[in-house]
Amino acid sequence: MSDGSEPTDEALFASWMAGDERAFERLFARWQTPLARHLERMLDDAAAADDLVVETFLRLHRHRARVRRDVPLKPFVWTIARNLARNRIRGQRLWGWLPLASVEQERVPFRPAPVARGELQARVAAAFAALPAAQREACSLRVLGELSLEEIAAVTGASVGTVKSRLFYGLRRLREQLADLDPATE
Amino acid sequence: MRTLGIVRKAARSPRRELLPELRARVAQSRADDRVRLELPAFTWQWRIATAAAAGVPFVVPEPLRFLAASGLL
Repeated sequence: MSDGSEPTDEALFASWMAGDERAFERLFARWQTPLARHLERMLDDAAAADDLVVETFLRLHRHRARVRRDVPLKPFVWTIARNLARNRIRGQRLWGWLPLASVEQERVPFRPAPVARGELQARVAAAFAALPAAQREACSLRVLGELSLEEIAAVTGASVGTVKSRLFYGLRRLREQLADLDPATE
Repeated sequence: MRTLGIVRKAARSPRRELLPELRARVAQSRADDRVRLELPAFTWQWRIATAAAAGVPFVVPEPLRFLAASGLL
């Protein structure tokens, strides 16, 4: 924009629907990094997270006519990503049950993989992995996805109060797990 | 809160450039959505059959015309 202000998500979406494909790519550029970070925490697999980021936007592209203009766009897109991630986790669990998939069992999500990562990344991954799934999701959406409480509630289908509770306990456990990395808590 | 700073610091950027991949997949999706109708070639057999079907009502006389045009005769 000429005045330097960033257009809202909804304005970009409207431009895209009016035929401006660059608006779609701007939306992608805006969300790809937080989405990839959040999905990596959910799946504990960076490559799979990148794949799901692309798949999320492909779904948005395919179903853009179904997007309601009177609701915020961000929770809609993050809900697509959430459903894709859940499907993937479900699929991995199913493969884990099959006898020939014993090698795949090594890739069951939520396990930290410190190989070829810095210690900090491994510690954070382990701390997230130790959280219950609902708390992990809420914390990841808040800290890495930078969603508001209302947006997290819309994505997860929980009430704002429940989200607050999950965040409170989740962040407290994260703080405990990472206390030795945080000089302020000592 | 420093813990959040640590968590954010440990987060990575996407490992590869994803936009070209998205563009390619969108283009592929558009190609898959397009339906192309391919009609069979209009060969001489088809031309004869079409001409016969169109000419029968003019050649066959009346009480049999309807049956002939319907392919019953």
